[in-house]
Amino acid sequence: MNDPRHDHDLPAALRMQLRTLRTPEPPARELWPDIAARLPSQPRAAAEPAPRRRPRLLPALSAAAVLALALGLGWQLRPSSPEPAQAPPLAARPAPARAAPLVVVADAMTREYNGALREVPAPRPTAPGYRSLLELDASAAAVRDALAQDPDAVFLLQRLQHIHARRLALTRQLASA
Amino acid sequence: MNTLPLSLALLAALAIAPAFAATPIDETRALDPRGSIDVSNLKGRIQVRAWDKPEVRITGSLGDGVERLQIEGDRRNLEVKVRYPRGSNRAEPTTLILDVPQLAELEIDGVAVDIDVQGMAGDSLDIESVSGDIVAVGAPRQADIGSVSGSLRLNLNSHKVDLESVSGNIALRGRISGEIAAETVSGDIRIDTRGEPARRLDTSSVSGNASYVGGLAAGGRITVESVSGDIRLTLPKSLSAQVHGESFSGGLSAPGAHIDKPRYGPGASFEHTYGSGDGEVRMETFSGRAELVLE
Repeated sequence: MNDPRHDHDLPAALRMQLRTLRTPEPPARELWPDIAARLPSQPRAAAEPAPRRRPRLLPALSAAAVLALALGLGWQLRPSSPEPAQAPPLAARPAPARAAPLVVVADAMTREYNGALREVPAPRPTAPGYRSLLELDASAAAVRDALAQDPDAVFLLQRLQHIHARRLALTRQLASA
Repeated sequence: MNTLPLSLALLAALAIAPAFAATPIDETRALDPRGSIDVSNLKGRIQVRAWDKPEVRITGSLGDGVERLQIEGDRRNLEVKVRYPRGSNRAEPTTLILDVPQLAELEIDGVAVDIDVQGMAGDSLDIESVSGDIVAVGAPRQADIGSVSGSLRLNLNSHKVDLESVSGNIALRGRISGEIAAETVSGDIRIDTRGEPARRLDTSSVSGNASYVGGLAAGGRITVESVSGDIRLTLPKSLSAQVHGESFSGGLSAPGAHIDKPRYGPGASFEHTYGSGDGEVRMETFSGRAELVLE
C-alpha cells in the first residue's frame, strides 16, 4: 500500500517559519505623522505602480514542492488506456486573485485530479464501496473549506492530496471490479 | 389433463438443480513453511488459520454463479483466486477457509469480503478489502491492512503496522516495537500498545477521532493530525519529549503547558518540554480538540 505519509516531513525550521506567518505584528511605532509630514512637499507625479510585495519564498517553495508531488502523483496514477468517463468531478473553485499559495496549490491539485478522474470509467452506484467515493468527495470539500479559513496549514493540503489520491485509486478499483 | 410431461419436466429440473447449489471445496497444496500465498475473492468470506504443516488446505464453498476456484503456483508461491464469469455480477458469496503455514507470507484481496485471520507470524501480512470487515490476530513482522468502508479489529504483535480505512473504524491492540501508521477519513482510530513504547506513530483523519494509549521510545516521534476529529494521546508520566500542539479553532490541553492564543484572529498553539525532551510529539487539528494526558 502506498504510504506518502512518511514523505511529508518538512524541515522543522520551515514549519516554524510557516507558523510565524499567522502571528500578527503591529507596527512598532505610529507611522502616520511621518507620512503626513512628507505629503505636501512631494510633487504630484505620474501614478507609479504600487510596489510589489516581496513574494514569500518559503511558503512558495513548500507549495511548489507539494504541487510537484501532487502533479507527479497524478502523472503516476494516469490510466494506461483512457476511455470516455463520467466520473463526478471533485469540486474545484477558481483561485481568486491574491489567493494564498496553499489554496492555489489546492485548486491546481484538484484540477489535476479531476482531469485524471475523467479518464476513468465511472463505477456503478451499486458497486461495494461506492458510497465511500461520495464520502471522500465530502471530506475533500471539508478540507478545502478548512484550508480556505486556515490557508497556512500545510497539513490540510497534505490531507487533501491523500484524499484525492485515495479517491482516484478507489474509483479505478471499483470501475474494474 | 395429461400431467406426465409436467412430471417429467419437474423431475428433469430436480436432476439439474444441484448443479446450481453452492459447491463444496476441499483442496490441498504443498507450501514451504516460509512460502507465500495470495488469496483473492470478490464476495463472501475469507477465513485463515495458521498451522504447523508445510501445506495449505482449502475448504469452504463456492457460491452459485462462480466460474471456478483457481489455484496456481508452486510450493514457494501459491495463488488462490475465486474466478467469476466476465461481466457477471450475480454470483452468490463464496466462503474460503484456509489452513496456512504459520510463518508464510500472506496476502489477501477482497471486495465485499469479510476477512478473519488468526495466528499468522510470518514476515508479512497484507490484507485489503473494500466493504468487508477485517479481523486479524497474530504476530507478523509487518502488517499492511486496509479497507474502505469495513472496520479493522486487530490484535498484533509486530514491528511495523500500516493501516488505512475511509469510513471504517480502526482498533489496534498489541505490542508494536517499531512504526505505526493509521489513516482514516471518517472512521475513528483507537490504538493501544499495552505500554509498549512506539518508535514512530503517525495517525491522520478528517472527521474521525483518534486516540493512542502507549509509550514513546527514546528519540521517538508521534504525529497526530485531524481536521475536525478529536485527538487524545495518553502517554506515561515519565514522558521525555518536546510536545507541540496546534489548532485553528479547536481546544488544546496538555499538563503544564501554556496555550498561546494570538491577540488577533483564531488559532492556538503550545510548546512544552517534558522530561529531557528526548522525543517529539505533534498534535495538529483544524477544529477538533487535541488533548495530551499523562498517566
